[in-house]
Amino acid sequence: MLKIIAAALAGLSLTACAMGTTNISLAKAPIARPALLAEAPSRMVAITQITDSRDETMRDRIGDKRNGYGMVMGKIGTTEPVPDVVKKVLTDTFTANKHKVVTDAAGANVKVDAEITKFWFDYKVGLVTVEFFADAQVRMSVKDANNAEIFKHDFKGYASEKTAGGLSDVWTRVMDAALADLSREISLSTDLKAALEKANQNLAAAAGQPAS
Amino acid sequence: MGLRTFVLRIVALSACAIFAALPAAAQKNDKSKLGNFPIASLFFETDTRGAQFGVVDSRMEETATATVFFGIIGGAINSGINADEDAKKAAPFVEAASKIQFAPIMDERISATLAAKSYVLAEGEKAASHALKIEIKEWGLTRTAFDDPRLTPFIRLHAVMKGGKKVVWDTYLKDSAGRSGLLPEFTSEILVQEIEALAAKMGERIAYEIIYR
Repeated sequence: MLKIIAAALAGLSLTACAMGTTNISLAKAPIARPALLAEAPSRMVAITQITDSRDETMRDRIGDKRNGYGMVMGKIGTTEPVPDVVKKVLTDTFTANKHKVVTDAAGANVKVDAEITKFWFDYKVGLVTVEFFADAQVRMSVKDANNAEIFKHDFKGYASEKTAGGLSDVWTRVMDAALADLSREISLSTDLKAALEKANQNLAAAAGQPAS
Repeated sequence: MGLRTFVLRIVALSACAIFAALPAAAQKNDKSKLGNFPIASLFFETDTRGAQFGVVDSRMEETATATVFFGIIGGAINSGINADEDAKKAAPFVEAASKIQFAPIMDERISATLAAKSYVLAEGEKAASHALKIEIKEWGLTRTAFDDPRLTPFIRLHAVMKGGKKVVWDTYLKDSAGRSGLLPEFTSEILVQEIEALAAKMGERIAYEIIYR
């Protein structure tokens, strides 16, 4: 009997990581690279609103920790609120593409609103490997200085990685890869580039001046 | 709870610890993202032979309704009915759709975008360091969202790039046009116009994927 109790205690001590909440720090290092958006004239961008539109029952985490039966044992969370992480990614993306992110919306060329529709991490256990998945989706809306919406699009960042196993370091890496993919999707958007080009034309037209 | 069940539960709970103990040797064989390797010369071609035109509207409703209410058999029957309904919705556009020439539109846009960035384009596959094959898979009109009856033109394609015999990029790209509306709002002319613009946009996107890889 004593052996069984000892084995159970040893098992439980090993599984502490499977229970409770593990918070991971995302987008700690810059994840954006310059791409097509850098070809648009430099604009002053204000990130005005980040709304969390994920299912209400899922806003307290970004993933579940499950045991071998698939039962949920704990939560995977973030050290910063998810909207703050997304704001960081957007700031990083516009900055890497040579635009200036400003806090004063009144002085900005464009105002960016984002709605988080999905932010989820999951994994599938195979025979010898574990496949980790991360999915970050954002609906972005861009308004010019006259508050006219000049761009709206759903962006999706996705990443997966098959490894022999891993804990929070791997979860962080895969989720960061999805955020880097989200940033890349935004940076490669021809329509967003066109909207940034158009932003000052609208202003100039309103003021009766030639656009830059 | 028996001893066996108890032990099994402990083993299952230990999955997390096992994850930690194993070396995190990532198998980086994900080809969906294009790596930053040199491309000396590129040959590309667009293949439309397998392209399927269709309207995806009624089929959007089947999983949420029929499968729940009637079970899997009901779902299967409903799927057939919905596919027929979608085929009827696509019928008025079929003639105009058959005349759309994707390849010249996409090829022209890819060439122009790459040439503007001084990319060397090869005449044939043998003369190129890398070869890109773009296959148009499905295209037509699809719902903008599961619960939104408005439709929007879309194209889904498969892009595969090889360096010699090695696949270096293998991805599916899907995009939809800016315009959306209920089915009666789409005429053949509007569909053609929107799809041609979308094909050009996707050609440009593929080129930018290569430029900013």
